[in-house]
Amino acid sequence: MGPDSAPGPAVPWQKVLWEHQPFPDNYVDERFLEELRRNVGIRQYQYWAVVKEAGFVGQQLSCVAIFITLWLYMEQGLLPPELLLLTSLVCALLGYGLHQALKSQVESSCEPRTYMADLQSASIFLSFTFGFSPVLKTLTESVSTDTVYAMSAVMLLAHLVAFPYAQPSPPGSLSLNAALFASVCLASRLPGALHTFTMLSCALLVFALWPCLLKRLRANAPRQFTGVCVGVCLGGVGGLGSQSPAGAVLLALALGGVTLLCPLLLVRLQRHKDNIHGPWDEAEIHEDISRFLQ
Amino acid sequence: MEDEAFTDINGKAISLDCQSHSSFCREFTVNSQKVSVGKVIAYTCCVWLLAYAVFFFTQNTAVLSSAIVITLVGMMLYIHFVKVDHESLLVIGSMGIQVSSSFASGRETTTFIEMNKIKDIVINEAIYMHRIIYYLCVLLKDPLEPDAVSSVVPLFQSSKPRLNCLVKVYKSCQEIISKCQ
Amino acid sequence: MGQRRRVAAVNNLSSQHISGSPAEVVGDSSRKHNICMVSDFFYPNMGGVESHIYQLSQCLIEKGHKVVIATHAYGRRKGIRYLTNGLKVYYLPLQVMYNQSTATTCFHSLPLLRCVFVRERITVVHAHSSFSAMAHDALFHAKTMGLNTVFTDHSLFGFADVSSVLTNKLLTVSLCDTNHIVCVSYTSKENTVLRAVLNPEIVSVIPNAVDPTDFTPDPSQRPNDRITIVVISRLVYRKGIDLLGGIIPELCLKHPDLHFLIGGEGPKRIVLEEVREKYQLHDRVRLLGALEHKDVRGVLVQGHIFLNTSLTEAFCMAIVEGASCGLQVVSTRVGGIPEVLPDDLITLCEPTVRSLCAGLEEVIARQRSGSVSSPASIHARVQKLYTWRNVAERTEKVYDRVAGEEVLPLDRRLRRLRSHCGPVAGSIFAFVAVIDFLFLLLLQWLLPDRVMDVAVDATGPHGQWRQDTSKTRSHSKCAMKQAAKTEMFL
Repeated sequence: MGPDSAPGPAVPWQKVLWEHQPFPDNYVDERFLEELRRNVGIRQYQYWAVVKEAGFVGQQLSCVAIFITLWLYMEQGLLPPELLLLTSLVCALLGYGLHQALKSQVESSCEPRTYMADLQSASIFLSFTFGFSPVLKTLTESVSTDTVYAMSAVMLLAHLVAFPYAQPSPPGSLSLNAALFASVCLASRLPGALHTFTMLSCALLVFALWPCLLKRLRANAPRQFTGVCVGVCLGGVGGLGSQSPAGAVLLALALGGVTLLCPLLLVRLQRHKDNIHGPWDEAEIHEDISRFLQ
Repeated sequence: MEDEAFTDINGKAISLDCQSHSSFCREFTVNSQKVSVGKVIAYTCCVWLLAYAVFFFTQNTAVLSSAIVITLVGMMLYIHFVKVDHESLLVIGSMGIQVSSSFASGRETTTFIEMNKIKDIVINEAIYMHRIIYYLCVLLKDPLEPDAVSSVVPLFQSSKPRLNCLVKVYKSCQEIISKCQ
Repeated sequence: MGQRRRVAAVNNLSSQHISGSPAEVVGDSSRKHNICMVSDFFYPNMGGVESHIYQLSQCLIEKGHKVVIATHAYGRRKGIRYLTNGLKVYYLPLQVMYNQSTATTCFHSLPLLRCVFVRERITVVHAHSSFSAMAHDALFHAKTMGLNTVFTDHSLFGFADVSSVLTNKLLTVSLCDTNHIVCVSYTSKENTVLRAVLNPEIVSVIPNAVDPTDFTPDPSQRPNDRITIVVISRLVYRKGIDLLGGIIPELCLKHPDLHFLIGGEGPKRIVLEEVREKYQLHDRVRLLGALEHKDVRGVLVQGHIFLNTSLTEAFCMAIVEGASCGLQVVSTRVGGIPEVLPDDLITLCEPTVRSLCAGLEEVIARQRSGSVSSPASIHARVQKLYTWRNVAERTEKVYDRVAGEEVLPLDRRLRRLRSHCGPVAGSIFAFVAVIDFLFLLLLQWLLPDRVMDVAVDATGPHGQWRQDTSKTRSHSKCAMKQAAKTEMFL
């Protein structure tokens, strides 16, 4: 009964409430906490596996760097928009081909989009962007250039933060919108309407279509995916290096931090992980309950 | 008939005066402390010092004259509307209860409650300004339902005597009310 | 005319006060305590914690202790009310933030709580529920004022996510110098000891109880041509309603005479409605909506099997209520549930649809073959297991132990906070404790204890409410009504 009553006879203590046991209420048996489990089902991380996954983050960082490099070239007039437009078109067609090729390897249960539908959306987008590019060009003219740069920087950062790295899907609406907003801001500082159009198409290629392709690549060709990531990272550093060596150094440092140092920290800090489990944990429902509703 | 020393809920001394006019008619008067000269001087000094400090920086004499006006008007309003000198409760069996409070300036407000409207006089507890106090109140009958209470009139609202004082008043009131019912 | 008697009681007490010193009044209650229960959760809110506080208080009053309850104001219900047997409830006007829990600044509740503790001459502060900010505030202030404290934990917490890490840290600080902690099951004790880093010796296990007279079996209410499974719980994720949504079609397809009776309301109702729609079970699955406590028994006695699908549960009163009504109980094996009922009264399953279905089928088969014990015999066994009297007796012993302990002076309290709660949180809360102490000094200077009127006891050794109960009850109603009126006024 109550705490600190005299200890009772030598009957074993039971972890039950229904029986009035001859032990005080605050009795602590040696079986106390025997059901405590530590670090159940913990994942042991392999360093290189984590680096490989982190490469995806680095790749996205480099994509932003490549986009900025292209903009820098355009702004200084070193890159004629026609050339970039042509290159983009070729890249888009190549990428589309690859995308279709990779699709055939997995059997798709849902109805595939037809070429017609793809062509239709591409033409709608291109014609609208082309038509509106003079408007977009002058959209932020009254805003000071510093503000535009700051806004673009914040938006690109938001794109990087909100990007759904965990499940490589087409970028989430927040991250894609942030990136497109940033590209509209930047494009408005370019000399002509064609430049603006080129920049926007390019942004769509880099921020919307490229992640889709990467998703396919990651699912179907993991080895090539790693190669592509490394390639993009190198391309980003190299491209930025041709315009601003200091920027390239910073980018390289950031990439090294994200892809090499952070995984190292994660693996090292795993040792200190101390997760407690026991009967008090909320049970998880593992089954798919929704099957009863289909 | 003054006996023990009573205090109000803030610990300030008050005095209770019970006058028995007849066995059916009693008057209770709770006298609060008078306005202390020291307090008046302290407040006046505060306002004037503040005004002088403002004057020192603005060099505007209107500040000083307005300070004088504020203190005078403030004092008038205080003694006329805020400071209650004494509150009295006159209980006349079979007639009713007269509640009056007189302010320091001499102004008096009086309310009369007929006996047939009164259900009872009780001591109650309430939460008041971050504390919990006892107070005496009159329960008024609901004219439609004789058993229900329609509203409550608190007594000694400004002097707020403590429980021992309330109990004394309460007992005498109950004596009279029980006699005439 | 209840008031008159009550105030007559006031007279007696006050004369007693005048004649004897107040210390004597407190001193002669050798083993009687003045207890203040503090929790954000009390009537008119309904739930396990609320009824626990109420029932425990009633039994303690019966044993001659003085009990008052402090909670926050519920809508227009603020001020001071009396419940049955002179149980005094302070509905303090504190701001509610989330889920009926008050906002906490650590300080703003001190003036009112101090007033309650001082005027009621409280010796033990008993706080309930770790979800209640007011309970934690009261523990903290009580320590500042030098009172002994007890805390009852009614819930289980995980350790995995950020919110539980934070709440566990706060619990560590709050329970750091609480004298004794009460948990409702051994699992709950293990959980609380781990969460708040406590010495297990100061944690007692006192289960909840059920009023057996409220839950009596009535087999005549059961239809003979079918088997009814009763579920009574809030329809939320933590109660495993998704599992229930899987069990219903599975079993209903196999047993055409099986019916479900589901009481309770919540966001997961839609799951059950979809299942019912899809499998056309409108005549066999009845959703009764929210039930009042008094209607629960009427629903329970209509069934043969009581099903509980909770995913986490510290004690689970529902299965005891079900068993008390003579039903076969099937439940998930989570939290403290395996400790509650003996193995022959309950069928425990894993929290999966398959395991629960298997357990239910077994019980259905037994029910069909008639090899289950009769409702009356189950009731006879259950009614002795958990009673509020027993809970009150054991809680009383906790109070006895606590009342003898010394309250740490400020310097040792600060040292303890810093050594026990870590350098960062410990220092922060040591600072808060110092501020709280200074605030208390300020309040004591503004309003000394001797200026506060000692409250008239309704319960306890000097209780003035020892008249026959029927009159007392009408009295309490009167007092409540009266309080309702006056709070408008002041």
